Amino acid sequence: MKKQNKKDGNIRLILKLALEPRLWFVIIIPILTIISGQKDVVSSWLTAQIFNKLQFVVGGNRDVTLLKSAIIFSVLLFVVEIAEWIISTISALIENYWRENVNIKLQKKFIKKDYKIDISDFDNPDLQSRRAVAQDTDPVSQIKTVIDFISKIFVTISFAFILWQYNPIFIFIALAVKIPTYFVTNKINEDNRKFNIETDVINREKNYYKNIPVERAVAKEFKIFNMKDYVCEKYDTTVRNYYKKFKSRYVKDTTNRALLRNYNRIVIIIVQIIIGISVFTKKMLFGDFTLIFAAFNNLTEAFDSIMDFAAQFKEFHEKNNMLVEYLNNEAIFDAGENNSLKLNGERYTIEFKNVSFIYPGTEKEVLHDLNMTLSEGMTYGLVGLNGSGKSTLVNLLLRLYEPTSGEILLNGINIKEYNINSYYRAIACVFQNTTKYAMPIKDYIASGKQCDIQKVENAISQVKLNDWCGELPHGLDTMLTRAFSSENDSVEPSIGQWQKLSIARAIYKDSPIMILDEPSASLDVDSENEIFNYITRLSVKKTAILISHRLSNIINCDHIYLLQDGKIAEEGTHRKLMEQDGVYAELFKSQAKYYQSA
Amino acid sequence: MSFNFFKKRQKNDKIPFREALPLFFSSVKRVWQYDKKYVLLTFFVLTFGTIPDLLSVFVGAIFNQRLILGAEKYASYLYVYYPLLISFVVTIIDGIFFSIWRWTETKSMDMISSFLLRESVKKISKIDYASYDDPDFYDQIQNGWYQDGEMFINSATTVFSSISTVIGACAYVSVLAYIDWKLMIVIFLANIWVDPLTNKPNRWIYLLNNQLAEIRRKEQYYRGFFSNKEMASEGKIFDLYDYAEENYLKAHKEIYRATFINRLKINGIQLFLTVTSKLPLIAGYIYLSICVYNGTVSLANMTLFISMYSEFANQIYNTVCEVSGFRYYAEQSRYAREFMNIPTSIFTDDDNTKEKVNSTTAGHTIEFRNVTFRYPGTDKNILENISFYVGKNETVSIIGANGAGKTTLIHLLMRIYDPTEGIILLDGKDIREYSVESLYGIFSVLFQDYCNYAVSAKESITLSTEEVDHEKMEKSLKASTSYKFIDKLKDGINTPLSRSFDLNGTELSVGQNQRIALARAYYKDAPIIILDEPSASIDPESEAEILESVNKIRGKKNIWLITHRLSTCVISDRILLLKNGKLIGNGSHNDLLNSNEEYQRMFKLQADRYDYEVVE
Repeated sequence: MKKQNKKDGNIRLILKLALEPRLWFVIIIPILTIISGQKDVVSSWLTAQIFNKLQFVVGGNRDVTLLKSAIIFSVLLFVVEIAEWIISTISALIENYWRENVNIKLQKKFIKKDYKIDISDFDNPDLQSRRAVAQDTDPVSQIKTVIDFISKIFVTISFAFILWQYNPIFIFIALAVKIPTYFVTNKINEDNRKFNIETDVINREKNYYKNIPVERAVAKEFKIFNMKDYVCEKYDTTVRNYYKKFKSRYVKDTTNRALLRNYNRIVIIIVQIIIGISVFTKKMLFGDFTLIFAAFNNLTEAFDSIMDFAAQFKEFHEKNNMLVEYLNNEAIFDAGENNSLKLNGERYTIEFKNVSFIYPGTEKEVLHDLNMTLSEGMTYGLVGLNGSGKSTLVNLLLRLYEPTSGEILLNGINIKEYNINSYYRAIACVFQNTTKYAMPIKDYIASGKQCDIQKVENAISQVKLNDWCGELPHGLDTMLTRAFSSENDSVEPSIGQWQKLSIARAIYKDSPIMILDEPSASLDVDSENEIFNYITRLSVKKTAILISHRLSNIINCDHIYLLQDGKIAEEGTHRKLMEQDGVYAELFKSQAKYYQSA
Repeated sequence: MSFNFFKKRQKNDKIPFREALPLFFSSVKRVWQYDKKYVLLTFFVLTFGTIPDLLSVFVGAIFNQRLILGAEKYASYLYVYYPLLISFVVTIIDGIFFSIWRWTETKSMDMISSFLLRESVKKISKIDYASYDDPDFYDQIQNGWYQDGEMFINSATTVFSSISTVIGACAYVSVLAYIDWKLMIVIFLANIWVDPLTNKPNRWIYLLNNQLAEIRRKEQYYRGFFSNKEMASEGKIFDLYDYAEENYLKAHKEIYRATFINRLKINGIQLFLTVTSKLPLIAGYIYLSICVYNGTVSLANMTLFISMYSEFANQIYNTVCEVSGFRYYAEQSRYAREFMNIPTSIFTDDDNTKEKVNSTTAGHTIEFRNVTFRYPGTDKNILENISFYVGKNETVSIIGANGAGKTTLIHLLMRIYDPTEGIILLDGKDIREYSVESLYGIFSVLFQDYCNYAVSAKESITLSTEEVDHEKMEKSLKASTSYKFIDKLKDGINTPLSRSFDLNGTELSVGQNQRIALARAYYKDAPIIILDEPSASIDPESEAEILESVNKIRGKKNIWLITHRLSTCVISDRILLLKNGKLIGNGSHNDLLNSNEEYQRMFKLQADRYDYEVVE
């Protein structure tokens, strides 16, 4: 029962999407399609009339009106052909315009959903592949298919009517002939669908190896590690596996197709022979023969497309399911957007209360009953080995994931309660992996919003990129990356420069809470020093969290937390932790020993 | 007649036919050298594959003609369906051909693909890295990269089917001329438009696509703006939604407007084509009706005309499409030929005649003599007049600010680029005199922008499908500290490092991927090891282990380290300090600490942060 509801909902969504722009599309396009569909009927009939009239003439009736009507029918034939072309072209243009209107709406919904979707859903490859299928959903095509189907039914009725007048038995022959075809086609389609799913991975893998060498990023390793043979060998192995796995079904599929092809041709030959006898013995006019033969051919074709429709409809249904599933996926963001509780004020205290976390789909507890308090206006250092849960902690604070148990409080209220947009306005973050964006520097720093140039310049100079920016062809308007512009108008920053840019972006945002996750991995000595000095100065006003593997960077923090196996193992100021002589002190010494020996 | 062709074909034929044919033959030659059997089989099947279609049209026409003449002329009905029996036999043979063809086609496509890939890979491994920096060259590399078997088979198919359609068209023409030669001329004149008019819309589509290529990429980019984890996270925190949507709509609307206008223009031409191709048919109907009335043409011949004419118009149209399709493939094979001829300055064709590097464990000496480098086409010196000497099995650290030229220096050392001025000597001899293949063999390197491959951990480290040297693998895992997470994976080193092709795969973190790349360098076990920022994203404990392992091979190999952590320098025999492309310090840690102001300053800056406790 529940499933049924869902199905109705899907169709309703597609209809709603497709019919929203202008309702008259739905009236005009079916009318045009049905009219142009009847062209074959009319022109077969006209051709038959021409031959019939002429055969009377050949038979000895020299009435000139016969010739006149043959000529009139010829002219009508021409008019019909051209009119059909015009009608179907207009219909295609309207359809195109309609599709544009609908697709843009759908794509907007998609971008919005992509934006809101939970980060944990990215770890679900199944959802990702369904998303890719759903994104190709084309509501207008689906409705057009239904319209075509209706038009085909009209065509079927017309031709069936013609055959009925000659001999009703041919309608049933046309149907009977198509029954085996239906099963074979169905089998082929079903096999093909399965085959495509199974070979999808192999094909993607094949393409992967094929395209490795042309990547700029790979070129250097490709040379030094001499990867020629490896890539070719992998490609060949993939192809060989493909044949080993699919040889038998490929042979079967080919045989099925060949049989189908021959069957259709042979049926036509037999029908020609049977109807031909009447013409031969002059029981039937040749024109009628061409009409009946055309009617039979068209009828079987129409049956084919009607049968196809069932399969297509099934496919649409699957796609629509995926679409609805993706668009209706309830994300953290959706719930957070409806909250009316807004953040105001400038200083915040954050508290983690018994927070535990397990990544969805895994079993290992990354954070275990964690408690910590981050008070307003203080700078916190967060250290620990790779995999100790530092980045996870940040992800939770950023509401990219929800804690499995426990709660995170901001000024004493669970962060879930706040309006998510106002919550995000209060946080600026430098992520561990800097993402490269193809946009002007100015847009990158100001996150694409109307910006205060003075403020952008200030942020740029804080990370010492002002000299670099000054040398660029268009200053702050220079495009980042070469993706959309030539090398004269754009710049490809180094990894270190990207890191600085992403810090500048966080500085520009000027939020009361600032999180920096390993911001200096690729920075040189001077830049690192300057940036950490800046952040330490900053902390007078803001609550800041610093994550770094270089322990020297965080010694000036007001408070340091050492994470180990998802728990706070040690905490305190640098001096206190050194006196404690625990894990922190050991880590610090291991880094410091090279410098101390100096 | 369907005009789907206009929608399908994306590229246009820029190549004149007389140039296309030789290109086709040269690509046939290429494949012929590889495997004669497939070429012969392909051509054989293609030639015979088109015969049944042609036959059945003629047979059908003859059948109609005899049907009308009927009992008056033919004694028995047998005479009439006799042609259909031929058609029946032909159909059966066609079915067999069809089966053979389908199988041959796919199989030979893949065989030829595999051969062509091998050839292209061989070429691409020789192309200068500098070519990748030049957008024009890079386009050439991408366009010409790997013409697969499908391309070859398709162009062979178009050649053969256009030959058979031309033959078909000739046959129809003679039948039509036999009925009435005057009509024949009208038909000919009416169809003369097809070629230029079919090509015009193709040209427009081609030009428009060229014009829209960039904005299309932009549209795709903004459409998928939040489609990966990192961009989705940053998008939320920095509220990039409005920006992405706005830019997407802007790009999309621009594309739509341009294509819609183009569509209208094409529709105009199509209307003209439809009218001109239908007119002779109707004229024929009227003219022949009169002839039949006057008794100059038989009704049977009139039916023959009607069926021949539609077939003829189809043939003309198909020929035009096939020729332009063929030119398109020819254009593709021209790209391929240009790609195969991209000049290379480093890995030249006489490479195997050059002296091989004598790869010994005794170590190599390296000397830079007045080396200056700037990227081709620019005038800023990245490195300026660098000279230094490194003895056998020394450990060298290269330090300096972002952009000082550290990475470029090791690129020159490995001959990924050649210096603009000056020479680099290996064991006292200019590196340009050695065979590049053997030169590349003596470097084990971790690049700063190392790559992750979607293969098993084992293969990602060995980059080979051969049997693994277990001892060496264990050492590499240990030295790179990869063992820490590899051991925890379900299938150990056989675990795929991506979930793209296998759901049992795993996605590693940045730090873990870097350690795999480090293991890759160790596994190669070459006499010179180069590590560009080996510990950028690695935690202190693992960093200490990695440094420890470097320390272990000290003196046994020539080690080059690029780093921002001056702590690493302490274990080096020699430090090269670069500033703005100039070498401003060259010596041991202690030397530089005593004599080099810049080094003192940098070291103190980092040390001070650690000295915190010491000072107290």
